[in-house]
Amino acid sequence: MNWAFLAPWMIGGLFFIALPTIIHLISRKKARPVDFAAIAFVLQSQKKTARSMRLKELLLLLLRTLWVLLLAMAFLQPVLKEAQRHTQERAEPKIIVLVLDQSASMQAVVGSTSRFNTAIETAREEIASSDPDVQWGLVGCGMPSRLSRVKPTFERDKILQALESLKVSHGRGRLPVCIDAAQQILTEKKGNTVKKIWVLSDMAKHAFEGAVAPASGQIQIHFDKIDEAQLSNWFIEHVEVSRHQIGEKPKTHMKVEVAQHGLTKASDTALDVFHNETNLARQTVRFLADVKQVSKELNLPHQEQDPQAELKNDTWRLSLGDDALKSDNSVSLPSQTLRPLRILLVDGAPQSIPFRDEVYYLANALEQKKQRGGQLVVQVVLPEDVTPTHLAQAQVVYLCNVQKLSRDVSQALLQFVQTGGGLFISMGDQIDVQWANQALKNLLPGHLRGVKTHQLLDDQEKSMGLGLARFDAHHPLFEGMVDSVEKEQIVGLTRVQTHTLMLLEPDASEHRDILAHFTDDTPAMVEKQVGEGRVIFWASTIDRDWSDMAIRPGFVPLMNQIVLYLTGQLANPRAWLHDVGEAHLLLPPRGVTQLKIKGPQGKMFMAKQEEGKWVGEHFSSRVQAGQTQTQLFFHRTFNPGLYEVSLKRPGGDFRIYPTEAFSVKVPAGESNLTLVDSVSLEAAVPLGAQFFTEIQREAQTPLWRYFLLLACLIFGLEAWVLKKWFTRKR
Amino acid sequence: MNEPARETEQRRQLLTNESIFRLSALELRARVIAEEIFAGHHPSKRFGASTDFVEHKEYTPGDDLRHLDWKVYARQDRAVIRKYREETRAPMYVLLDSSASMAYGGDTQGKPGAAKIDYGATVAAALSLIAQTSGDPVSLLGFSKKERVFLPPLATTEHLQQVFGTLQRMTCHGETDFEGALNVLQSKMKRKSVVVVISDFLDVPSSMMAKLGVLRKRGAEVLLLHTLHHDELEFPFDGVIRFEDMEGDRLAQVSAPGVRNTYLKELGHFLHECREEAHRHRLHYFMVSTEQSFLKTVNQVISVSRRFEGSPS
Repeated sequence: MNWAFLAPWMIGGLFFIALPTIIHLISRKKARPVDFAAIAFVLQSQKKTARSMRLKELLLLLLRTLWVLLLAMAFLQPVLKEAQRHTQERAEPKIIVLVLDQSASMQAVVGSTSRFNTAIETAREEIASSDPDVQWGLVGCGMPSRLSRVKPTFERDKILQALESLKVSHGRGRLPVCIDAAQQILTEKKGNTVKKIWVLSDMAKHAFEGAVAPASGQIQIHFDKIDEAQLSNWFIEHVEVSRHQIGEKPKTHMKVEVAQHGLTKASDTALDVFHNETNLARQTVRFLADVKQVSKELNLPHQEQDPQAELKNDTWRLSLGDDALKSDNSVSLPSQTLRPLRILLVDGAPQSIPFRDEVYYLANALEQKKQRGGQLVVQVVLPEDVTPTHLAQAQVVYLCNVQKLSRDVSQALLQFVQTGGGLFISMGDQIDVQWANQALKNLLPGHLRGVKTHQLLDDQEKSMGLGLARFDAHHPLFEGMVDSVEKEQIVGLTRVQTHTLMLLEPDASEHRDILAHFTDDTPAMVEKQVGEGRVIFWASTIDRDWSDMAIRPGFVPLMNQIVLYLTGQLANPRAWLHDVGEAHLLLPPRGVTQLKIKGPQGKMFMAKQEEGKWVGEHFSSRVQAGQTQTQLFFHRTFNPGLYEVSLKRPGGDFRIYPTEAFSVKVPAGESNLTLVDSVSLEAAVPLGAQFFTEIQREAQTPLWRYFLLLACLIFGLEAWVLKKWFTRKR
Repeated sequence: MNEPARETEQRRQLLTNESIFRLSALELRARVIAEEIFAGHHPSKRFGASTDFVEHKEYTPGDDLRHLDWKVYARQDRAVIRKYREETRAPMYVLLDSSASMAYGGDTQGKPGAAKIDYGATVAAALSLIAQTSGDPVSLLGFSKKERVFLPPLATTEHLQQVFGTLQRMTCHGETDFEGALNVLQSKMKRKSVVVVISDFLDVPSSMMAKLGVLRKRGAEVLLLHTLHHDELEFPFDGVIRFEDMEGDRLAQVSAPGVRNTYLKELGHFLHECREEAHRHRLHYFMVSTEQSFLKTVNQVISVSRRFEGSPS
């Protein structure tokens, strides 16, 4: 049983115990002079009472000094540490394995030093001052996948060197796993010597998930807290980014969940938004002591895109004001979360009357998506105005009833699709079949045969055109749109009537999928994979010239689905924000043979395809059953920040793909610096599972309350003495 | 209580020491007190024989026929002469201690006229006025080791003005000088007289009572007005006080509440001794606080002096 002080820096308060003596001396010097006639009686009284008065004054001084001392002691927050022994008397250990907590929460700064540095210093002193016959081992307790172990040795230099090489991690640490590792090391050591696991940790509650496995042998487990400070911490817990329209201006909308642990009183901090280190916005976040989470919403003006920005380091960062643990106060955002999808509509049959325009209905459909929060930028150009630059900036291109494109543009279009762009081709009366079959040969899902009109002279029969049938209901494009009764029908498109269509030559290409047919079994909607990109062919018009699909209820959702599908966002809704240590899923496009990831600290991680398999340190791959797409997992997400992804094709150079970038943040669990309670500790290190293991924990009895109570009592006693002996009775 | 009596009572309640002290002129204070003493009475200067009947005496030729009791003569046909008590003119000697200790007016600064000397002077002035109004000669003796003032007993208005002036100008210096004062008094005093001593009797040797007893034996009626301030009687001080002697250079730094009980005990013992000594020498002793009503103090003195004047010589 020994003493400790939770607030030793308040030691200066002990100087206040001199205060009563000083006041007493000053008050004696500052006695009030009074001319008095009956002084003879005063002198007699003084003589008679001198001794008792001295004793009373001494008692008063003693009481005053005592309560001031107790008050000063109470501010030091004294605690009584009592070792609770459960099984047997503790013997001096001869083999000690130090389990040093390396979790992110150990970065918390107390005073001017981080807890991790304090722990290193404490461990170094302990090891250096230990008996030479004690063997020391080490388990660095970072992320469970990265435990570092040093077997017990007599060589102090070796263990100290290993200790110095430990670095604090940004991930979650699990002490039970580390204690298990330490037990394993100790179990390997034969002999009947006393063994000890010395856990040096901040004793944050989150580190005690899981339970220690039972071990045999005489092993003591000793938990040591780095310091007694009760820290509070705020952090960014979650971020959602979307784009929406306010008035006529597009805005980037951010919803940021900010949380706190341990605040005992209301506190403010600032939430800043940085774009390439330029501060774009700042909001005050007010935490109340009993409110754990605050949600802030920011509307940022749309940032004009530099056409070359795709290839540049374009970073966004959210940041909170400093607190005890700084590393969880900022989150980097990949730029694609903030960038809109750019869509290029090539209008092959422009009309002065808007609703007769070829792209009128399509543009309106996409506009509705934009207004509902979709991140779309729609640009309409004429075929003769299209340039390769337009294509380079767009992610999806719609060729609507286009008669002809220049040769350069045709080639750029092919390259655009091959490198991951999406292309939608719709037919119409302007289509030059010969040109299309030649110039768009690699893009079209098949040779165009010619126009077929399903039209009778009778007007009544005309209304009975071809409907849509046999949808590929399992295709992701139609997800959520399939009729629950008619499984091959799409909601809102069942009554589409098409009287004219473009026929395709039959083709057995494996890259061609017919997504929907007309009721006469001719292909209506066909998909083709071209390189990394996709092409969707619609055999009729996108306006009302050949088909009335544009005015059917299912048109708008279908167009929106097509946009997402062509940009790959529908099939691969991958997470872009991970916790440290979480694997990131990559879906390398076809044709890509090498992949490079640049970490936040500039470190490069490479993976390449060898004999159809992806190999690379820190990478793992798998192909899910029934799919051809390789899933590549990147595991070395050990540092918070932005990770850039570059892809390389044979013969080409590495090219940064901003859409593949992802961000890593400190796990929210590490942000909770709340100390472990006895229940969680019992659960993590259960007594029943220990067998011969002795668990020693230090129970702390806070004494400052008693000190405060005693100080109040003595203060009351002093007041009573003062009133009784030193105050005139009225 | 009838109407005039109620009015008198109400007036007396208004006539507090504070209201009297607000009058700066001592003569005014004295007159206010004297008027209150005489309220309800019709004082008149009575010259010649006394009106107090003592006995009848058989008429003998030569007796003054003015004293013949005609009523007895008419009823009993007997000539008798009415005999009256002879009225005397006993001078009043007012001895006022003007030592430094009498200047003590309490710890509260700025309270006008709260000093013992002011209280004593006001009482002395009122007594002088009342005595002069009754035709009795008044003498004043102010005494301290530094200064002694003596005004011989006279009953004239000019003399009374002189008494007022002397009292008004009287200041407190040095130690008390009872011995010197008594020596002067013994040499000047007539056989039958009233001696009023106004003093705090602090630092006065106990032998003084014996000397005052000698005056009593010589036929004087001695009244001691032991005048003390409220602070001296109650010791209402708080905190640490450095008490400084008013007549010497003694100092006492004490925690006032700590010594209060002992002080009050000592003071009580002193007052008891004074009273006992006074009684032993058949002196009239009155313990007077400066907060005691002037009327009460003056009335006490007058009642004693009247009894004395009324006694057969």
